[in-house]
Order: sequence, then C-alpha cells, then structure tokens
Amino acid sequence: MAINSVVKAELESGEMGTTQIANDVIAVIAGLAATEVRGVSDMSGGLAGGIAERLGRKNLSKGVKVDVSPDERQCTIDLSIIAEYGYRIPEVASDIQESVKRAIEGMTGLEVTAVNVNVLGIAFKEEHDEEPKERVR
Amino acid sequence: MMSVLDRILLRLFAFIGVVFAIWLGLWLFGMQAVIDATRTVVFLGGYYDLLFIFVVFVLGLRFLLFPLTRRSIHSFVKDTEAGEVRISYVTVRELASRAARQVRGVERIHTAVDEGQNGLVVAIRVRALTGVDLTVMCSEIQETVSQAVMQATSLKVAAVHVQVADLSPELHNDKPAR
Repeated sequence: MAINSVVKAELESGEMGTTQIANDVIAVIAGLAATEVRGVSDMSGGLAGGIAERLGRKNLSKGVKVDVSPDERQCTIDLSIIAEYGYRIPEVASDIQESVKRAIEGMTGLEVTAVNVNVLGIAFKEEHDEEPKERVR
Repeated sequence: MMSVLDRILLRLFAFIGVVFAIWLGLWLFGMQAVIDATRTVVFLGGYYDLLFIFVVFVLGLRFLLFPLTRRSIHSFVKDTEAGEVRISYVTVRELASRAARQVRGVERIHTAVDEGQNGLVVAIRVRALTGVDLTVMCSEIQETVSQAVMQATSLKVAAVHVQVADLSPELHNDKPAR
C-alpha cells in the first residue's frame, strides 16, 4: 500500500486544470464503506498492519488494495475482511461490493470494475467468552 | 514491503546457506571429495556440529522456499459479476469447529478443511466424553457442521468426516459441551 500511494488516479482534465486523487484516498473510502456493512467485523491488514494498530496508529485503509488502470479511469479494489459470525458471507460480500462500488463511484467518479472480497477469518463476538479471540492478521 | 532486490538477496543467502550446510555435512561424514578449506573452521565437536549444520540447512531451506510458500492464502473462490469473493480455509474451519463444539458429547476437536471434487470436505477429529452414544454424536456432528457451513458460506459441503480419536475420562454431564 505504501508503494501504491504515490500513484495517483487522474480524473477530468478540464479547462481549469487537472484533478488527481491519491490511491490512498480511494483506499480509505473503500475501507470506510466496507466497515459500515453489517456482518463485517474488521478489516484485515496483515501482520505489519496488526502491529502498527497495536502501537496506536489507526489505519483507515487497512486491508484495502487499490489498482488503478493505466488510463486512470477505472480501478479494481481488493478487500481483506474478517467476517462476523452469524451472517451469510456471500450476502455480506455482495453488500460490500455494492456499497464500495457506490461510494467510490459517487465520490471520485472513477469506474469500479471489480471489488474482490477476501474473507480471511471469522469473529465470534457475542455469548461465549471462551471462544478464541478474533485474529488480527 | 520487500523490494525485488531484497528478495533476490534473500534467495541468494538461502542458497548459499543450503549449499554450505550440505558441504559441511559431507565433510563431517568424511567424504573425500571435499577440499580442505574447512580445516580452519573451529567446531564445538560432536553433536553440536550436526545441530549447527541442521539449523543452517533448515533456515536456508525455509528462506529459499519463502516466496513460494507465502504466495497466497488458501481460499474458496467464487466469481461474481462484481468481483471475486474468496472465503479462506481458516474461516470455514472456524465455522465448522464452532458448530461441532456445540454438539453434545464433544470435548475437544481438531478440524481440517480441504477442497474435494464436488464441494468442500471437512475432517474432524473428536475427543468425546464418556457415556455418549458415539454414532449418534457423529451423525449429529455431520449434520450440524454441514448445515452451519452451508448456511454461512453457501459453499457446497461434499462430506464431513468424523474421527473419534479419543475418549475423555470424565463422565458426560448434561450440559452441552463446547
């Protein structure tokens, strides 16, 4: 992600000048949109992300990978999430795809060609405390 | 993030490590083909040599295979029109474990998930409580697990294999086991 953040998605080259949106911004939008979906417990930012989080660095683009096409009009999003127990994962995934797509297209004007959802784990929140704690990966 | 150069260096290091370990091992076992250069190396003697060589070898091998092994997380992939949905093996395994733990008579379990020809295959090893009808327990596990997995993931469950591997010495009481 750190490498990607330099690349910018360029939008309209109007008469007034150009607009560029950094990949990180798209990632944050996607991350926020995905976290709001019911059935998503958390985003999964890998081992390094987990450690950074422990140290108190809040990372809103955790678990999001953005790929912008060379012509800078389209993008694909890869999301890594931890699902919440009790929800149907395919439904959660399609909700995520829909709301992420809507959020990005609405806020940036980029066309979202695909939202790939990676369900890396499941979190059991309610009832039993003996259940293994949710994994941070 | 690792750069390409890092990766190449790591590979190189690992390769040298493995070669070095093999070479030392050969030398230690008195192979004639090896040249004399290692004579200057100070060894601790006896089993420590072997241990050292083994550690170098394993470390080398580990890093040599490193880029291959972390390629991707095992998941069940479904293509939807809006993009791929991947459900990792870990997710399915935890779902299955949780379902199985709720069956009466189950004390401890170990679950493994794999992809079969026509759907996913769950293999569960159970340590059962004494005084439970094992056949009933097993079929109950199969039922609950395949229901739970199908319900949560919509993946097709081809088979749930249950193996009762052990019996707990404790008597079964009526509280549902977790």
